[in-house]
Amino acid sequence: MNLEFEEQSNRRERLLRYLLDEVDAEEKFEIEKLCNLEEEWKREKRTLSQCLALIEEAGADGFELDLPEIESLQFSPGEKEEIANLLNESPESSQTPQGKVDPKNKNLQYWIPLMVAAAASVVAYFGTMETTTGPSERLEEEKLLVALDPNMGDRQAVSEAASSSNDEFGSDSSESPQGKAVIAFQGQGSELAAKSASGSEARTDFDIEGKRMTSISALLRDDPNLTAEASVEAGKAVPALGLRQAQAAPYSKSKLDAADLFAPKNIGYLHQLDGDSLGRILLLGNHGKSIFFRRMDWVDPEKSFALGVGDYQMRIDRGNDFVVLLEGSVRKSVDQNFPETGGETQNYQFIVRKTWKLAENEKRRPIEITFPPLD
Amino acid sequence: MEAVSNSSTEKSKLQWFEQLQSPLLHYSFGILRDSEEAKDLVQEAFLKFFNEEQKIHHPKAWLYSTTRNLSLSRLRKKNRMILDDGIRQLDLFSITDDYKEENPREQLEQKEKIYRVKHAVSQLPADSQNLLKMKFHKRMSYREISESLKISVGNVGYKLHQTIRDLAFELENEGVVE
Repeated sequence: MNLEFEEQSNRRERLLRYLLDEVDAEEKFEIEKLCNLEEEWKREKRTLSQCLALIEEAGADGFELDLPEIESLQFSPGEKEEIANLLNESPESSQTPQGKVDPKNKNLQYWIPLMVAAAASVVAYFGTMETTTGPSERLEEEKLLVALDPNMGDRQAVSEAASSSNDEFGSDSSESPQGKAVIAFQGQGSELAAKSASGSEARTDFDIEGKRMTSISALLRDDPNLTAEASVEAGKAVPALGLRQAQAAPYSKSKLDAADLFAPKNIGYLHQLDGDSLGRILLLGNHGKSIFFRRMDWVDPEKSFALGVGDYQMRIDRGNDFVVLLEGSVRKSVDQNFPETGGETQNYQFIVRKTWKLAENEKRRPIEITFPPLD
Repeated sequence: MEAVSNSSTEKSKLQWFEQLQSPLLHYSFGILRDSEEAKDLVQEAFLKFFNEEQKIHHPKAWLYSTTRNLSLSRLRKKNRMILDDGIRQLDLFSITDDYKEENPREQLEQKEKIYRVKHAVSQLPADSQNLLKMKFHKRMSYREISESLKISVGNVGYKLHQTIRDLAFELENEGVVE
């Protein structure tokens, strides 16, 4: 199987070079001979030629989709619920191919609506981080993440998730007209993350094939060796970006040195501006106001692990000492001390623009971080 | 890797729904230019997916293919109705301008294939999109690209080939190319 895959991969690569006119005369002759003699080569050549022709044509205008702006081309929560209900009614969802009722599916019939209800009942208001509201309002805009005991029954677990999160964050969320809530849930081998966004809109957010780190990755706080999945399995209730556990001690420091960010451990978390976690990062060092890092936990090397150029947020959590949030732009590293390619993965440069610490009440407070001047 | 079998749990089907509902809505909307119709068709595609009893080896390709077929079928129906009413339609895939030509259906399908490629490219990471634009839109040489991106010429070739191979794999699985 692997041999066959390798052979196909090699054939495609050679054909691609040939079709892009990147081969010398000898290789060209060899490939043409193979295409004339072997059916597989002929077929692959046809396929790749068609693809390249389409890409050429699509690229002529810069791959512009030329679509009108649609504000929210999304299923509404009601429509999603309807689809989930239809899924429950579909033959496969309620029966195994042999016609027997699948207990997992039976469970699903109960917890899908409950999940939606739970998400709605967790009136969590914790919006995205890049909003322009003042610091006093930021806590209410942070995400709520609750991880539950996997041994708990599905229905009970979801109910308790709603109840406990309301207890913990009730006062804040009651003031919040809109926001996001995330419930991470794992039970009976199932894993579900439901995200309620923009107050009335519910969205289910899954970690597809475990390759994409979701907000669950924000579970990774104090132990860099603990994976997100392990945290969930252990039933640890942990906060998302911007939220800490209630027992955390206050952070007294009002000024930090850049070196503090890298000690005693050099692990951080990268987030998109809307708070979605991109998982753990290894902090390699800094040069001026640039922090160099590499992504961690590359689950599937066959899938791209690259980051696009743009603005991101970084969270650095040093337990009871401090938690800082940094905002800045990311690009591939061009620093000679942290060359572009650092082993298997890419090294990136995070150019710091804004810095906050999380105060004991979880509110963001600006903090000064002293970065050594450039040489 | 992405195969879904009869015995797969609902969770995995819901995962596909969550992962692909938005891209599929945009894809269908690009063909139909009608958000409500796009929602109808994507919902229909997912219901077919949920009800499919045969093993689906490539759910993503299957869902795109089904959404495309449903959308094109709806578009043809719409176009027929519009033509019957003697009204001209001005959407992206309108065949009215070419209607008198010999193969309007093939033209429609070709336009859709190009749109599919554009949509697939729009779903790629920004750096891959940029690379493709440099190569196929700006017609830059590998050397020029390497200077612009500050990566080696070899790396440009590697990344570009990888991106094209991935696209080809996707398009082949969906039956966009044979």
